[in-house]
Amino acid sequence: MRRSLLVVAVLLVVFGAYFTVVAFELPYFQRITPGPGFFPRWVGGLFTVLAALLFINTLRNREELDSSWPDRPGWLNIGVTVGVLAFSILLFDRLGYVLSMALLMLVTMAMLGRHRLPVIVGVSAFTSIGTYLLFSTWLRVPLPRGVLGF
Amino acid sequence: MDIVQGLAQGFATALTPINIFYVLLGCIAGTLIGALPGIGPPAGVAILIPLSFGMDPTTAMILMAGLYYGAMYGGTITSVLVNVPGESSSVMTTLDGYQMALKGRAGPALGMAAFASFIAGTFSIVMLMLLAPPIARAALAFGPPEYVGLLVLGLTAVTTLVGRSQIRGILSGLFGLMLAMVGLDAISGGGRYTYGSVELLDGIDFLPVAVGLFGVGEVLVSIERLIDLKPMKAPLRTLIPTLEDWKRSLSPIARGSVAGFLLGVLPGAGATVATFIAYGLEKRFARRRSQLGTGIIEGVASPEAANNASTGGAMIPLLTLGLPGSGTTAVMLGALIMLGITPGPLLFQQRPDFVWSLIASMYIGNVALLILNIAFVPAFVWALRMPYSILASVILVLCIVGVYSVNYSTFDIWIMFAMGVLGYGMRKLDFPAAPAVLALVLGQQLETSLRQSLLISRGSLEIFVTRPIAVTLLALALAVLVVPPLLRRFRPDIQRELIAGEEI
Repeated sequence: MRRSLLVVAVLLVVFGAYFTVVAFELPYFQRITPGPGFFPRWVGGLFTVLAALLFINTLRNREELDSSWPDRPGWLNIGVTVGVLAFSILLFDRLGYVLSMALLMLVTMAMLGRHRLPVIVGVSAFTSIGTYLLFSTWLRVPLPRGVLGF
Repeated sequence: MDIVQGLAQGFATALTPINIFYVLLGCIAGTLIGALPGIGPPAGVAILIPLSFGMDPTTAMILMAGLYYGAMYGGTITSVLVNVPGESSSVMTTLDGYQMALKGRAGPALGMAAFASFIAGTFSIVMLMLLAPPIARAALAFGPPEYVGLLVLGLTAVTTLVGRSQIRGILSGLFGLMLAMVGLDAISGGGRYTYGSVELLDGIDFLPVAVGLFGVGEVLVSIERLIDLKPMKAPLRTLIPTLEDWKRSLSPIARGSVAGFLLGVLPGAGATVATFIAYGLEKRFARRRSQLGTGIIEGVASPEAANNASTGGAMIPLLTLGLPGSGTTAVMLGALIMLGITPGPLLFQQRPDFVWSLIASMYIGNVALLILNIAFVPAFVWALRMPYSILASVILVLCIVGVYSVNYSTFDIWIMFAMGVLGYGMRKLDFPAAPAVLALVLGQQLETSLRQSLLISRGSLEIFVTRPIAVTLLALALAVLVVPPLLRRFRPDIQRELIAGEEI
């Protein structure tokens, strides 16, 4: 975990520095008023300094850390869930709400639990169609309809 | 409007069928979310927001508040019966609660927790009702420099008191401010950090960020290792505590209520810290303090009183100053702004009906929760048996449809996705998420007030030193920033009690 935090601290320094550099392209003062670059410069600068401080503190073992990264099955759960989540967002407009959400639920439930197929299919269908009806019919949200027309 | 008149009008609104329905819905959803680990109140409130569009803002707030304090009740069930806290605010309840359950006294533990919650919750609403109007009146005199002081104090308190690392808390808060800067600049009207994207020109909405960091992030952490909860089969025939239990619990409830309320008012402290302090008080003052941890009722009554008392306290800065002190209240503030209500001193003058209906609904909600948590505990225990694999996939779908419903934008869902992955990393590396969301909600106001102040003073920073209220608030913020590291160095024992856990 300590090594991860060190890596993250470096990334944060880079991010903060980049944010601050961009802020320098915005006007700092417009006559007597602080301009759009005023706040970003200060916030970005402070962020960069604190990220550097986080790096130093972590090096000197002065930052507490008490969680640990998951084991292999844990990573697999997270990886598959994040993957199918991204995939179903990608297909959200094309497949339509009901199908993309059903896909998301089918994969996550099959991956994370030990359920019989009818349970998985039933819960997915019920939830995706139920939320579709709730949001698109009752709350009038124009959810994407996709290939099947719903 | 005086209290009696206000309250009478409030009850008139809160007792309409639609508002009664939504307060009950909020309380039931809150108890469930409280009881279920793997979804917390901030995510719960955030997911509710889209449902509240088109509702009257008062009804929407009644619903969200019901969920917020309802979650404080629900956390107990899991703590006592499974030895797993449903929320961070019920961690302390596991200590004696689960031991009581092992001794066959789960019923009285749950029953006393419900009564303690009810007493403390009601106490904190009374205090809210008495204290909020004068505070709002005093805050009417605030100008831009005072708001800068107030917002800086609120943000530093949340970033510093929450979580284990001050630096990581502040970094999280600054990140929220950075997100708030994306889009059109409120004063000059130019775009910042938009990279030519039309979507980013509108700025980053708080809802996808909150749902991502709290909702998706929490799901990802919880699926690392799935545990199916097995609530112990405890005899729940006797949820009513005995007379002896009552005698032992009265002083702990009183201590817990006062401590919880005070910590609720403070930004950054909130329910979780309140329970730690309340349990600490019992260790010092309870007559049977040596038996704490072995399953005595005092150890359940006091933290359960404290976490409920903190909710009424937390409403005071939220409503009177527009300054939320935790993740959940930050999400509520964001929701209210979306619904066209701006919490702050003017709210009490312009929308007394809103304030008083909310207060009245909280009284009603607490009565409803007492009944729910005495009569319907078996139903909630039954709900705990739902496998997390199913719950997780349902939560993800609700997150997506909720975020989409605000702007009908797939781009917002991507933001939620990115924030979910980020939220997972932040949780693992102990970066608290609440400061980022809070700073995103307050960021624009802070920047605008800062620039307005400097406009008044023609660019001189002196304005923050010469106005007495502004300088006091800024000095307090500095103290909040400086005292914890000093404590850490010189009194590690006190510091350890303060960094109890992330308040969400």
